[in-house]
Amino acid sequence: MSLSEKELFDTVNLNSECREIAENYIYKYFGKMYSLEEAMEIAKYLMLKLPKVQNFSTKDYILNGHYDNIIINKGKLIVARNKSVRNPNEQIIEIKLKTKKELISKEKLKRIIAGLVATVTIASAFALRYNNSYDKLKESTSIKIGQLASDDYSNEATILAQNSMPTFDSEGNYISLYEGIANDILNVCIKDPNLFDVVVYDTYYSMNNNRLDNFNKTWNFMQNYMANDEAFSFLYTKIANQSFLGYVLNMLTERGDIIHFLPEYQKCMDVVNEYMEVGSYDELSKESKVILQEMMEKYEELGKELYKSNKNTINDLVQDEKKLGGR
Amino acid sequence: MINLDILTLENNKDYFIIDTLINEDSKYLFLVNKEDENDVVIRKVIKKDDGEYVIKLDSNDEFEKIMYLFKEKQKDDKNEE
Repeated sequence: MSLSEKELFDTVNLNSECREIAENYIYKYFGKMYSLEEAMEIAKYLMLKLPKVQNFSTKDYILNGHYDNIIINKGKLIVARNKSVRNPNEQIIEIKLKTKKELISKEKLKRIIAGLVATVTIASAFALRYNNSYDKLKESTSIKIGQLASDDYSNEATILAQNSMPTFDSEGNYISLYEGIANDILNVCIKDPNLFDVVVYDTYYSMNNNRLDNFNKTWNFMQNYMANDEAFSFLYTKIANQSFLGYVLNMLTERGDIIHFLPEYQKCMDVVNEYMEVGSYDELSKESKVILQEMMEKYEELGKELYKSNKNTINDLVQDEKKLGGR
Repeated sequence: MINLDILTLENNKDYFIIDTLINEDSKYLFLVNKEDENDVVIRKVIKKDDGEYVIKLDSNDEFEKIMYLFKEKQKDDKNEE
């Protein structure tokens, strides 16, 4: 079941405390001008504009189309602001207004809309977060597991902004990415299990602090929750480069491609666990080294550009880690 | 397939013209990069003797004002429907 349009847009039911938090969040994203309502109004307008012009139904789009691939993305209006306003020292560049027509596919148009819609989802996700589901989740032990990043809302907003990204699969379909701290993800999953095609869980926050226990618990929770749901068949992980294994897993995932990561996930995590115990690549078992090599070879086709960089061999990775003072 | 207007900006990238807005004799364009829908910009159209030109906005205040007007325009559009 997807969110209805009303649910999606209706944030006025937030209680005062939640409302204040959500509005603060919007302020951080969009600057002082935009309240929660304003940000959503603008986004709604932009979203509604295209379907109206192009003669296909917003409602159909939302309910039957890509809207259940909701994303949280960088604040689009911030992007617009930065690129729209001339720096005081910048020379005024005048471009002759000369347009041309171009045919675009409906799919392409949908993607554009999906991008614009992101602004709405920032607000709506926070509406979800602070509704009853959130209260229930707060009481569950699983929720606590999800608190990997910070309880500071300003930090959360920053994290969300820095890590969000739009993605498309190999056929050009919009892939929903919701990336935030685990709490956000879990809240939304509980609210609507079919909301996302892709759940993004940034393992950086657990791996970075050696909180493997937290990570594994959260992972188990997500797996159980998503047990028979192919909608969650993708897991994007992004692990910081503080460790050798971080490099390796980073190579497997952080290249803008969607990696169907689950088949190898447990293998990699076993290696990660071993690495955390032994503390160095050299001391990994032969089996783990083979797994790593296999993973890199398997994903080589998907990451040729990355392999052209200096980080294309295990030795390079080890050297990099040494430079960073790794173990 | 759908026909959309495209404008090439100073970075030599093509942008779809998603919407326009008139304010104080200036026209504003809401643009989305043809290749990157995350690249969203607003530009102002100024008139000169030899035609119309597109420039960046002068200030954040202007940007905020235009975004506010886009929002207001939505209400107007809704009322017209």
